[in-house]
Amino acid sequence: MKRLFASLLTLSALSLTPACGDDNTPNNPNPPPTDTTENVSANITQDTTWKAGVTYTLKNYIFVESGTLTIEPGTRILGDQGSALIITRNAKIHAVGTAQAPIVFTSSRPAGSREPGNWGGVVLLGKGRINVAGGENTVEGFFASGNNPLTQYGGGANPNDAHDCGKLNYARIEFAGFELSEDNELNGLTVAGCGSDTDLDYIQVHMGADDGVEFFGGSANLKHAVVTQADDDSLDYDLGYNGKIQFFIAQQNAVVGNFGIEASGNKNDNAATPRSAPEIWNATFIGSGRLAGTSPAQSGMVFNTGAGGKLNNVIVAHFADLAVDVSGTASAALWNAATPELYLRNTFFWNNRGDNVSIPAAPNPTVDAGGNITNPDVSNFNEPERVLASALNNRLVDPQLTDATNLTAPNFMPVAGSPALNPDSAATPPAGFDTSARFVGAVGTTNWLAGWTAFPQD
Amino acid sequence: MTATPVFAQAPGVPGSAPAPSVDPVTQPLPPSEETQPSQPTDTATQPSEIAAPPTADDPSTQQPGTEPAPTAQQPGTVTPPTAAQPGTEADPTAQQPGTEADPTAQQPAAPADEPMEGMSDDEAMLAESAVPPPGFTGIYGRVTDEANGEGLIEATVKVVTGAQKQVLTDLDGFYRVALPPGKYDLRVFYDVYQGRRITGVVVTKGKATKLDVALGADEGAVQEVVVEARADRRAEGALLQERKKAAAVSDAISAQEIARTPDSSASDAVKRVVSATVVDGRYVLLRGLGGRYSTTLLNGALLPSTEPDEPSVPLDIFPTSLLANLNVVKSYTPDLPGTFAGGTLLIETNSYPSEFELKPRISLAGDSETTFRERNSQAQGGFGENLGFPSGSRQLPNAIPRDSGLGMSGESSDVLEQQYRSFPNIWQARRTTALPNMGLGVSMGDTLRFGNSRLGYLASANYGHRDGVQEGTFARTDRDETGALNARDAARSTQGFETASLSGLGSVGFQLDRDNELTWFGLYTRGTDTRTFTARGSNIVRGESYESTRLQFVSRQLFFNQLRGFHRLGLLGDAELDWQANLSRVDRDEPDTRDTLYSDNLSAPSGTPTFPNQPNSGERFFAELGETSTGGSVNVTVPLSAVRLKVGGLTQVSFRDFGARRFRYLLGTTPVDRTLPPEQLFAPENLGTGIRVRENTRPDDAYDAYLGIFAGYASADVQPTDALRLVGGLRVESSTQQLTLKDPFTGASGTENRSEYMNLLPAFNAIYALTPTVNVRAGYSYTLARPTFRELAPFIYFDFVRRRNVSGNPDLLQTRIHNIDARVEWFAGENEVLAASAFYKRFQDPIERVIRNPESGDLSFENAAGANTYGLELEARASLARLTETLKAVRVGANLTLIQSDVDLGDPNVVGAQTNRNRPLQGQSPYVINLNVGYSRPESGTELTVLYNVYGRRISEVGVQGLPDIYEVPFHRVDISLTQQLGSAQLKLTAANLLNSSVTLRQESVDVQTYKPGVAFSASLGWSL
Repeated sequence: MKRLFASLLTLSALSLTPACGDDNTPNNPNPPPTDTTENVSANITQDTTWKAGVTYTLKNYIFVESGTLTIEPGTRILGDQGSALIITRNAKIHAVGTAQAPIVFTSSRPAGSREPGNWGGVVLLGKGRINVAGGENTVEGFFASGNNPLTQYGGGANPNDAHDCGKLNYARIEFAGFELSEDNELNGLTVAGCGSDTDLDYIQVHMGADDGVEFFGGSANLKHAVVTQADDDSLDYDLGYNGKIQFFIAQQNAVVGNFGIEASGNKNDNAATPRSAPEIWNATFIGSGRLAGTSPAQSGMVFNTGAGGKLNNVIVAHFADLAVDVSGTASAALWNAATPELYLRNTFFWNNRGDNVSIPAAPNPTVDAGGNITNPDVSNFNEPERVLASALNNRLVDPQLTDATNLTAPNFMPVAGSPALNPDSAATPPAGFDTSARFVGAVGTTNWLAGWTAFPQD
Repeated sequence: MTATPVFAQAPGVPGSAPAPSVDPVTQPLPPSEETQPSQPTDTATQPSEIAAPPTADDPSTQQPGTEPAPTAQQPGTVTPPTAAQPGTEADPTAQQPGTEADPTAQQPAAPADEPMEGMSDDEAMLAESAVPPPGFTGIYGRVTDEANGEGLIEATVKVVTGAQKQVLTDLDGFYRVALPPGKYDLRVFYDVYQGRRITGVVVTKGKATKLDVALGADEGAVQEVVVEARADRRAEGALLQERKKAAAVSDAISAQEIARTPDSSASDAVKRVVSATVVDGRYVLLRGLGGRYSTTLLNGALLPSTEPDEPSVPLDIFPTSLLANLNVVKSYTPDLPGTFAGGTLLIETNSYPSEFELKPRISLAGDSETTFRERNSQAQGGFGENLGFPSGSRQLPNAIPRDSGLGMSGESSDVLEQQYRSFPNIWQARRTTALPNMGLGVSMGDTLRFGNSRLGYLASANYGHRDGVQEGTFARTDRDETGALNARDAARSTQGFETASLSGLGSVGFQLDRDNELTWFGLYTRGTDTRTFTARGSNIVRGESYESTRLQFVSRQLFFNQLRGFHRLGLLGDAELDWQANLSRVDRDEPDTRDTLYSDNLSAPSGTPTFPNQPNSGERFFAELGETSTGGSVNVTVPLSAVRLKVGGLTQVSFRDFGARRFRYLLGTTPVDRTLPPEQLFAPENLGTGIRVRENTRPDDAYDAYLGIFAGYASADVQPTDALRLVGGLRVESSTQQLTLKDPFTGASGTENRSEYMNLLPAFNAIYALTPTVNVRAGYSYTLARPTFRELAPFIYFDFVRRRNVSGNPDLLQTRIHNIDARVEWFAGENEVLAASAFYKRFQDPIERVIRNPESGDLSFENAAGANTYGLELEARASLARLTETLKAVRVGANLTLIQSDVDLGDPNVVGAQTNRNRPLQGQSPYVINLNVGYSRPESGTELTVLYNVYGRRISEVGVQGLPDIYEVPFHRVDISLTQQLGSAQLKLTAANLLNSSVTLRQESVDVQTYKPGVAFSASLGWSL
C-alpha cells in the first residue's frame, strides 16, 4: 500500500510538471549527477566495481573481457556517441539496483538534447545455444572484426544452456542503440547466447534506437521489462531464442516504431533448430495508434523465418497496421504443427488498425525483381481466422488500461473492473513463472513499474 | 569508398588513380630502349652466353663450312667474324644460356696473360678504309643495317672486355680497331638499332680478324650475338626472344600485338597474355588469382591501388598508346618485390622515340546498352567535371564544423538549422541521354643529339569522356523450412555513370655518354566519376517494397615521379649499376554520396512510398583518402665470366591518411509529410524541428596507415654446363604494416594494429636446353602477399546495389606462398612458341572475401588456414603457314590454364561456420582460356583480330551458416578489331563483347546479381605527323 501510494505520488508529480526535465522533479527516480565523474575508455579484464556516487562515462566500446563488472545501486553510467558496454562470453555483469536506487545507463548529452542512438547500449554475450551453423556468431552491431572473440557469442559445439551472463536488476537503459546499417544494429539491451542462469528482472529500455530488447538465441529469462518508445521493435528475438518471459510491456513509438515483437528464426535457414520459440506470459503491447499505411508498418507482432512463440495472457492494442502477422511458410508451419510452437492464447486484441471486429489479415506476397507480385499470399495463413479460433480464448475486447498511450507518464494497469483482471480471461502460468499472475497483460493490480522507471523525452 | 564493385565496370579512363609505390629492384629498363648499350635485362646479356671460340689460329681458314645458314629468322644478322667465330654461328640458340656448342665459351673473355696496357680509354677514330693494311693486328669489319645491308655511319664499336677502346664506323660503315693478341668482347651499337654484343673474338698477332655486324630493330634469333641493348620490347619477336632467355617463366604482349587488338587500355591488353584475366574491366588476375596475388610494376615501380575496396591497380588508367609492352612474370626471381603469387605484371611505357613524332588521336565509341538511351544523371556538377575537376558544391559545406561533430558542441538550434541548410538539397536522380564516348589524345616525342650525349623526350596527353548505363538485378537467398534455397528480396537497379579523365605522361631521358644515362618519368592523372543509382526492390522479412537512390561522385588524382639512372661502371667485369628514386601522391575524394530509400508496405501497399527514417535513407557520406609514397632502390649487376651476380636493395615507405564523415537525416519532433519526395521533405523549411541532421560518423571512420618495406637481395646466375643454367638467390624483406584508427575530428590516435615481418624469400630457377629450340625449366620460390590497407581498416562502406556493408579486418595476417613451377617450351620459329607448364602453390593464411553476416550479406576478409593450388598451363602461338602457305597471313595464339585449388580451413571448430569446408580458394578459377586469331595483310595495311576469353566459375564470396558460396559464372567474351592504314592515318574499328554476355553472380541455383555490360563499338582515328 505504501508503495502504491508512492507510485501515485510519482505519477501525479509527473503529470503536474510535464514540461520539467526529469532531473529537476522532486520525485525524480534518477539520482542527480554526482560530483565524482570518471571516464571509462579501456576494456575491463578483471573484477571491477563501479560505485554509486560516481558517474561513469563510457568513451568508446568497453568490452568486459573477463571478470565480473559489479555496478552498485544508483550508479549512473553515461555513454558517449560510439560507446557501448559489452559483457563478453568470459565475463559477467552484476548490476543489481533497487526500486529506490535503480542503475541508470543513459546518454552523456545534457538532458534536453538526448536522443535515441546517442550511445550503443548494453550487450550481454554468452555461451548458450544458437541455431547458427557452428554454434557461434558475431553479434549484430559490430562489424567484421574477423574472429575477434570479443564480439562472438554462442557456445560453439558445446553450448551451455545455463550460461550465466550475470544479473541486471532494476536498471534503466536510455537513448541507446545504434543502427550500424539496415538489419545490423545495437539495441538498448542485446542479450546474445545467454543461458537460463542469467537474471534479467526489472529492466526498462527507453527511447532506444532500433529494438528495445533483442535476444539472439540462448535461453535467458526476462521478467518485469518495460520497453518504451523504441525506434524499431520493442522485443526482437532470433536464432533460436527459447527463454521465458513474464511481465513484459511494450509501448511503441508513433513515428518510427515497427513491431511489438519481431520474432525471427534463422533468416538464412528457416528450418534451423532450436526454433526461436520462447514462452511468454503476461505481456502488454501498446501501439501508438497512428495512421495506417506509414512506413515502417506498425504491427503488434510478426513471426517470420521459422520463428515461433508461445504467448499467453497478452494484450495487443492500438497497432495501426496489423495485430498479428504470421509471415512466411516456415512460421505458419509451426502454428499448424501437432504440437504448435507458435500460438497466442488468452489474448485481448483492441483497436488494431481501427478495427474492433476482427484482426486484419497479413498476406505474404512474393515479388519479382520488377516489383510485380508473383504470389499474393505464399503462406496462405489467414490470421483473423486462425488467431480467433475459439479454442484459443483470444478475444476482441478493450482491456481498459489506465493510461497506456501516455508517453510521459504511462500507466499500464487495468482500471478496476477491466476484463483483463477477470480470471476467466486468463490462464494460470505454469511452474517456472509467477503462477499468481492469472490476469491478461503485464500488470495486474500491483504496478511494478512504480519508482524505478522514467520516461524522459529528450 | 568506391563504386560498388558490381558496377565498377571500367570507366575506361585514367580516372582511378593508383597509389604508386615504387619497387625499383625490378626495374630492368633504363629509359632509352633502342640504341645505347644500356643495362641488360636479367638475362639478356650474359656475357658468357656467346663466346667466339678462340681456338682458331688462323681465323680465315675456319670460316668456310662452319658458317651456318644463319637461319631464315635472322637474315644477315651477323656476318661471322671470319677469323674467330668458326663453328658457332650455326647454333640458332646461341642466345640461350647454355646452348652454346663450344665448351670454350666458358673461358674468361680476357685471358690474364694478355697485357691490355697501353690502350687509351677513349680512343676514337674513323676507320679510313675497309681493309686494314697487312700486318695489322686487330679486328675490322663493317656494321650494316640488317634490313637493307647499307653501312651504318658513325656506329660505335666498343671493346668492352679485354681492353678499353672504342671506334666509330666510317661513311660506309667500316671500322677497324687495333688490338694486341688476345680475346675480346665487343659491343656494337647505333642509334635506333639494337645494339649487339660479340664475345670471345680472338685476335692473333699479325692478323686482322674480320667481324661484320648487322644491326636491326628485331634481333630475332641472333646466332652469335647477345642482345646487348635491351631488346625493343615493343616488338613481338623481341619479346619471344627475351622470354626464351629469361631466367624466369614469363609471358608477354608487345605494343605490336596490342595495336592489333581493340584494346584501349592496359586492362584490355593484358587479357591477351597467357592466363591473365581482367575483372570488372580494370583489375588483373594472373593465373586465375586475384588482386593481391598479382603485383603490377610500372617501369619497375610498384603500384598499389587507391581504390580502397579493390586490392590491385586499376589498369584502365594506362592507355595502350603509352604501352611499350606488358610482361607477366610467372616465376619469382629475388630481384622482384616479395609480393608474388599469381605473377607480376610488368608494364613498360614508351620511352623516347628515335625521331620526331607527333601523333594525335581521336576516338568515338558506344555500346548497345547505353548510347543514346536515357541514363540516370545528377543535377549537380558543372563543366569542370567534364574535364575531371570536381565542382565545389560537392564539398563539405564550410558551415559544418571540422574539429567536432555536427551538433556536438552545444550549438544553438538556430546555428544548427543554418548548418543543416548549408548542404545542397539535391537527392533525386535526373535523366539524360547517354552520349557516345569520346577520346582525344596526342603524343609527341623526339630525340636530340649533342655529340655523344642525347636527350629524348616523350609526352602524351589524353582526355576521355564516357557515358554509361548498367541495369542489373539483385536477390538474396535463404533456405525455407524444407531446406530449399530460395531467392528473396528481389531488386532491380539502374546505374547511370559519366566519367571524365585527363592524363599526362612525360619521360625525359638524358644520355650523358654511352655509359651513363638518366631518365625522369612522370605520370599525372585525374578524373571524375559520377554515378547515379536507382533501385526498386522488396524486403520480404520487413514486408516492404522500396525505391532507393544513390548519388555518388568520386574524383581521383595520381601524381607519380620517378628518376632513374643507369651507369656502366667499367670495373668488376663491366658491372652495371642502376638506381631509381620515386615520389608519388594519390588522392581519392568522395564528397557527398547521398542515399535515400522510401518504402511501402508490401502486403497492403498504400501506393505512396514514405520516408522510413532508417539507416541508408537520408544519408550523406564524405570521404577523403590521400597516400604519399616514396622510396628508392639500387641494383648492381656484375657479369663475371663464370657467374653473373646481381645484388640490390630497396626501401619504400607509404603513408595513407583517410577520413570520412557521415550525416543522417532523421524525423524530428514536428510532424512532416513523409510521403514527400526527398528534395521536398529535406527542403530548407523542414530542416530544424521537422527534419534534423545527425552526425553519424563512426569512431572507425578515420585512420592513418603506414607500410614500410626494406629489402635486400643477392642472386647468382651460373652455367655449369652449356645446356644448363641455374639462377638462384635470396631476398630478405622486412616490412611494417600499421593501421591506426584516429578520432575523425581531433585526429587523436586510437587503436593501433601493427604487424612486423622479417621474411626470407629464396628463389631458385633452373633452365635446361634440351635441344637448341627446346627449354625445360623448373623453379621454386617462397613468396608473400600482404593485405591491403582497405582490407585491414575496419571502416564500413555501404554497397548500394546489394544493400550490404563491406569492411576490413584489422586482424588479417600476411600470406606466405610456396611456389613450384616446371615448364617445357619449344620455340618453333620466329614468333612461334609452344609451352606447357605445371605449377603448385601452397598458400599459408590466404586472405578470402567472406560473408560475415548472411542475413545482410555483409562482407569482410578472413585468413583461411591454407590452400593448395595445382595448375597446368598450355600455350601455343603459331602461324598457319605451317599448315598451308596460303594461310600465311593468319596467326593463332591460344592459352589454356587449368587449376585445381583446395582451401584448407584448419581447425574445424573455427568461428565463422563456413558452409563448405571443401571448396576452391576464393577467387580461383578452375580454368582460363584465351584464344586469338589474327589476319594481317601488310600490303594493304589491314589487320583483323578476333579474340576470345573466358574464365571458369570462381568463388566471389565465401558463404557461411549453411548458405552456399557465391560464384561468379563464366563470362564468355568475344572481341573483334579491324585496323586499316589510310596513308599517314590509322583507322581502328572495334567491337567488344559480341556475345552480349552478362556478368552473373550465382549462389547455387539463384542469381544473386546480374548485369549486362553490353556490346561496345568504337572507332578511332590516329595520325602520325
